[in-house]
Formats: sequence, C-alpha cells, structure tokens
Amino acid sequence: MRQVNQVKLGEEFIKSRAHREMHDRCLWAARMRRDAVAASIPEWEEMRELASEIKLHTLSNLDFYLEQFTANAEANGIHVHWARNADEHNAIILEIFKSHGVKVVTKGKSMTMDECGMREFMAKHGIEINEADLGERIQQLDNQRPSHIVMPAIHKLRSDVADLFARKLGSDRDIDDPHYLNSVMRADMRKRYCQVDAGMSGVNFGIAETGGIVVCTNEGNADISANLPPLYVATMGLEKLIPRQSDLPLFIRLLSRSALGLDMTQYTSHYHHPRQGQEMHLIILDNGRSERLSSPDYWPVLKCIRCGACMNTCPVFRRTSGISYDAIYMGPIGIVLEPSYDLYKYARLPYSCTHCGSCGDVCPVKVPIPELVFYWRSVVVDHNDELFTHNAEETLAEPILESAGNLAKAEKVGLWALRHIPKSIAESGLNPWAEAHDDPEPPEETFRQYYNRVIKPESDKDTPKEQS
Amino acid sequence: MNQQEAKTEILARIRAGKPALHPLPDVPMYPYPGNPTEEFIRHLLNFDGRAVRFKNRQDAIAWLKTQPEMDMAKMKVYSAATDVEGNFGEDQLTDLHNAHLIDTCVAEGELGVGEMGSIWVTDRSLRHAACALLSRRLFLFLDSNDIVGGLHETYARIKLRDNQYGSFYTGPSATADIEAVHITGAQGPLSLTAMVYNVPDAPEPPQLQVNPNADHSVWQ
Ligand code: SF4
Repeated sequence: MRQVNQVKLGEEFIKSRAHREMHDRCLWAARMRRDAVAASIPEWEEMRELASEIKLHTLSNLDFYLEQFTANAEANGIHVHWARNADEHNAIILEIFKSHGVKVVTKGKSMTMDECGMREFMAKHGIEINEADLGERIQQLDNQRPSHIVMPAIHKLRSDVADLFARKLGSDRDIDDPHYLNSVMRADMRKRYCQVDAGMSGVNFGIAETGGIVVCTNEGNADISANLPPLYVATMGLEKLIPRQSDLPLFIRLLSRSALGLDMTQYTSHYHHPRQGQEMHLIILDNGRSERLSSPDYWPVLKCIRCGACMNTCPVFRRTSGISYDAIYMGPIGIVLEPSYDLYKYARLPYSCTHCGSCGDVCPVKVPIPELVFYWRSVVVDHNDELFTHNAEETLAEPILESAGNLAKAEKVGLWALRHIPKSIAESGLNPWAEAHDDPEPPEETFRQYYNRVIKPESDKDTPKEQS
Repeated sequence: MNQQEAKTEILARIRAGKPALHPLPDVPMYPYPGNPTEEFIRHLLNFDGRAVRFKNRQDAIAWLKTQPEMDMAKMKVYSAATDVEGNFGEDQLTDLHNAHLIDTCVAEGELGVGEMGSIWVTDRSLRHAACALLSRRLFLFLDSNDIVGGLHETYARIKLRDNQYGSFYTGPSATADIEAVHITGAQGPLSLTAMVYNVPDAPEPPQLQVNPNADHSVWQ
C-alpha cells in the first residue's frame, strides 16, 4: 500500500498562491476570534482544565458510563446498537435501512461515519446519501474528502465552488458570490428534504445520566434531517460520553468558541426520545477506540471533542491544507490519530509538525498533542525498518547532527555563508524559501558563541571542545 | 449480526485496558455578568438575530400582527403560540414534509441565555420542530423573566430528559463554509426575531433592533 507523503501533497497546495493565502487568512482569523472570545471569559483556563479532568474521569470509567448511557437511552425509546468496527457499523445501518425500505437520506456532518466509509458503502447498496452541510456537500459533489473537521471545504476558492456547482447543480459558472452559491445549495437541498426517507447525523456529546445525545451545527441541516423523516440514525464514537447534564454547559461553552471563535453554534440540539411516529437508532462505534484506551501513553487522545482549534492554529496545516494529509482526520489531531488506524500508511504524518506547541495551548480539553507527536515518532522509529521513513535530508544531516563538535562547525559555516554569499545567489530560484522570505541580517557571532560568552556558567565551559 | 456479542466484547476490552480511575470534579455554576436581557439582545444581534422589546405580551402580539410576514393574504403562517392565529393548520401537516411551504413560523421561546443570545425551544413549544426549521422566517416570544445570565444556570433550569427535542436556537441558520464568508439563511430560517416582553423600560412605539453589519443577502 501507498504511504501518504504529506510534504509532497502539501507542496501541490502551496503552489497556488491564491489558495494558500485565502486558506491561511481564514483559519488564522478563526484563531484570532477564538483568542478574543476566550479572553472575554475570566474562567476560560479553569474551564479547560475541568473539561480535561471530566474527560479523563469518563474515560477511566468508560464501561460504567457506556452501560449507564445505554440503559437510559433504551428506556427513552432509542434503539442502541454496538459496532466493533466499520464493517459492523455499516452492516447495522444497512439492515435498518432495508427493513424500512429507505432509498434517499439526508445527513448532517459526521466524522465518525466518514471514518467508516459509510456513504460509499451505502452507494454500493443503492442508497443515496446526500450530505446536507454546505461544506460537506461541496466535498461530496467534488468526490473529495473534507479538508477540515468543521469547515470541510475551506481549502477551496469561491471560484472552485462556482465551477463545481455549475457542473453538478447547473448554476451560473460566472457568479462566484458565496451568497449566490449558498442559495443554489439551499434550493437544491430543499427539494431533497421533501423526499427523504431517513435522516442521519453524528453526535457531539452523549450524556450518560440522561441517555440523550447532543448535536451542534450552524446551518440547521442536522436538525432538519432529524426532525423531518420518520427514521433518524446517529453514530457516536464511544469516547463521546460525558457523565452528567451539569457537565454539558462547560463543554458547550468551550466548543464553538474554540472552533470558530463564536459564542455558540446556531443549533445546539438535544435528542432524548424519538418523535411520535418516528424511530431513532444510535450506533455506538468502537473501531480501535478501546484499544487506544489501553495504551498508557496514548489514551488521552480520546479526550478530543473534534472542535478543529488545533487545525486553525497549526502553521503546517494552515499552509498545506487538510487535503494534503490524505486522511479522515487532518492537522495536529490527525497526525496523532491516523497512525493508530494504519501505522504504515500514516507513518510520515507525525513528522508534519514544527513543535511550536500551539495546538496544545488552544485545545479546549488539553489533548497533549505535542507529546503524542513524540509518542508516534518513537513508535515509528521502533518500526523503522518496515516503515522506511528516513528521508534523504535526514541521511545527509546525520554526520552533522551526530556530534556536538560537528554541529558547532556547521553553525560557523552557516554564518559565514550568510555574510558572504551574495543575495543574487542566495535568493535565486534555486532557493524557493527566498520567494517569501528575506535572509536575516547576519549576526556578529553564532548563538553558540554568544551563549559561551554571555550565558554559560564558567564551570561547563569545556564542552564541546571546538570553540573559537 | 449478534449485537449482544459486540457489546459484551467491547465492554470487556474496556474493562481490561482502562486506566486507573481519575476523580470527577464538580463543575461550578459560573455566572455571566451584566443585565441578562441586555446581554441576550447584544449577543443575539451579533448572530444576526433581530430583537424587539415590549412592555407586555399584548404589545408584542399587536406588533407582530402589523408585520408584513404576517400578511395572511400573501403568507402561509404557522403558529404554535396559543394566542396567535395562523392560516396553516395541523391538517396540512399530516405529512410533515409540507412544512417547507410555510413562510412564517411563530412559537414560544422557553428560556433565553444572556451569555450567547440563545433561545431554548422544545418539541412542546414548537409543536413541530420541522416547521421552525423549514419556515423562512421565525418569530419567537420570550418573557424577559425567563432570560438567564449564564449557560450553567440555564441548564440547571432544564430537564433535558423530559423533552424529545430541545435546542438552543442562536440567530437564523448560518454558514461560513465558502471562504469563511458569513451567510445567514443556510438551510433553515433566513431570519429569527425574538419578541422579548415584560421589559418595563421598552421603548414606545416598539423598535426593531438589528445588527447594522448583518448579512443581507441579495440572493434570497
Ligand atoms: S485535539 Fe483538541 S483542539 Fe484538536 S480537534 Fe480535538 S479537541 Fe479540538
């Protein structure tokens, strides 16, 4: 099987300046809004800590909460199903659909269903699944995976969408006003809502104490899908539980503020029973989660509430887009999740990280992503022979990085080069870095020289030997 | 497929592998500062919602009747509010899909949240959520005495389990999925108007408050 090379795929995205700049601008704006809104809540940092603690508690007692949740949900009239893996998940839903004669479905966004390849599976069985979220629908029509967990088509320019809608929905190719494009989508979806047999959605939170689910969206598509047809099917990853109703406001207050810098999702909806005359099914999915829970170093990854804040802040993600990860989950959380699904295929992803640590700082539930990146790198190194992740640059750099003395020499060469190589060469086409960056003014000395002169205590001034 | 077997196996795997028990902290009832009604309106406007304050409910009903969205000759109006008449009846909703024909939906908001400008609605207050979601304009009554400051206090007043469907509606439906351009009227209503009554210092005559920077799409 092919190994995903995020660096190469990212390069393709970076080539288009218009895409790259729009993408970076939109995500950074979300990050800045998040900062402003977080600063307006004095207890923000305390809330992050509490949310993390509650998630750790729930995960450490997950069997109890799953049983409590199931008993309550069943008492509420919800049909609860259990799926060990993607195949079982899809088979369960197909069976439900067949017994109801379902042909056409509208669906709210669900990363968990994406993880199971549910849509493609249903297509093979003649069941038409229409994504009802605008971004997700754009990606479906374009036969492409979502590039962001809350803004699935954020890597596309409006002109890309205009072109796509012209081809698929017969709209005017020359009008790329997002308002127009939204109205094209709205009109198309409205026709579909009138003929659907079932609605589907993901789940943001399951409340053990009350046996209900919470679904947060902005467009209202998941609510329409759940409230209109006679059948509603939702999928929940088993880590989505929280213990009590009183825990919920904490998470709701963090979620949308972290995701988009907005105080709330427009539709924050709670489902505790089927509607009169409706059947409601919930599939609880494992698909590797119970295994992750048993890894002492890795289990905190299950705290993630899928807000996307780590993506908005990540310097790699913002420049290369989610498409370049070629995976269901992308960005910081993606590079530490995907290797657990397929170590070979995603062995390079943990290297798509600059160690800036920003993801860990913004995460509303304190998933220790920076540490998990190291965890996966050590796993990858342990399996190095099978995974071939060593690249040419690393091989070249090895003799330099091998000893502190060699590194000190290399630093001096670097400083010399910065002083003496003329700009016409240093910033020529040979060096694509120079396209968007000027070389810095060369300093008087290397950092090591400065450190030795000014900072270093007298007692350790003998290592390494080679000093000027 | 044997579901019981899957359940048993998943739970057994969790029991065998789960980490040592972490303590469960209590969540404080964080308050939200400021006057709840003012905060509610300020935040609702931020979400492109519209708001009108009234001294009492009668004033609100009288104002609503003068709105073009309530022109029965031109509009299909569904009302789940007890004291407002519509012209789209239950008999037309035996097939819920017909809800997409509704121009204007009127219903009761049960609680308001100052912190976000959200309105708590349920299957009881909406009667059919589908009507609130598929209509083009949504008007919600809200007693200012039912506006709470913070979200924690709001949840403390709700029994989630007693409602089939309960939702915080925060402004009209919206999307920012294309180049992050904010657009109201994604799939659900194009506008949401909160009619907040029992506000002693409500202006006379009533004033419709809107966000001057709200999205006014030329396409809808
Ligand atoms: S890891 Fe944290 S920041 Fe990233 S999506 Fe999950 S909850 Fe959000």
